[in-house]
Amino acid sequence: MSDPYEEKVNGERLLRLPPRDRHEEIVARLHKRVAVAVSGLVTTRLLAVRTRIELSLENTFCPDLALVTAASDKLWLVVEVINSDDHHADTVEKKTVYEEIKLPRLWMVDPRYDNVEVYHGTPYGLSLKKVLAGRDLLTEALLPGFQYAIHELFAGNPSAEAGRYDF
Amino acid sequence: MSERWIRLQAIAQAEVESTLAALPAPLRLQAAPLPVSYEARPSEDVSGGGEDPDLLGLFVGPALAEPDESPLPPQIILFLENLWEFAEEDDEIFREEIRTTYLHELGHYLGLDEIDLEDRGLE
Repeated sequence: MSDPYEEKVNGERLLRLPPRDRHEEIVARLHKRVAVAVSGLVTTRLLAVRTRIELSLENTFCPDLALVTAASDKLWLVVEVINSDDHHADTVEKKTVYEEIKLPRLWMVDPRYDNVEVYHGTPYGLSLKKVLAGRDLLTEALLPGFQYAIHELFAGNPSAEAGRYDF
Repeated sequence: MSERWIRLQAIAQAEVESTLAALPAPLRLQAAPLPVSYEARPSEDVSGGGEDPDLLGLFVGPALAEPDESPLPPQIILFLENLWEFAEEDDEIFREEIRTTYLHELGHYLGLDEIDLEDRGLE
């Protein structure tokens, strides 16, 4: 289990519970695969896991994965892997802030249901483009060569073992 | 992934590389870091919607001189199925259209508008 960490959401300091092992495994897998795709690009930078990003005076987030443009350090893709013990901030509060700042891409990775929600920023807010599961492929046109089969991303689901839920 | 798609992508990649290599050195240095990706056709996922379904290529992100104008990283996307149909399934015309479309989108990255591009025969 990782350490707890702090974020500021709408001016309120939130102590986030330590992500569990499966959460961290999924984060590590995504980082590894995205790092390969980004390695050939000079236009995008991958930040370290849960880098503190000050979005405004009221909001400092630590997204599980973040891509910024190399030219201007603009945040353009965020991945939040849901922690089942502590999901409200990610699924509701932070998502609203991402919508307000017009984040272009948001992936909500949910180990509770083994699915990934892909949102795109539009002039009217975040738009849910697809919900991926099973053998669907997670791709992004702005990350040439990147793809991840959802069942591989969630492989080794410990919740499949009776009575064990460890997200 | 179909054999046809793999072939179209290989032809397109080779044509983009040779077009890039033939650019004057100062221009090549600016163009080389710009990623090019290949999609079959435009989709809402790529363009945000509202695009012509027959579109041959798209530049997304900010122009080189204005990095703050867009939150997306700059990138060229070429729509290979549309280009193949436009070329009436002729390899030579397909290569020419890849080249023209790549240069057109590169022009947008370098700050040229549609009139500038038309003046240069890259409409």
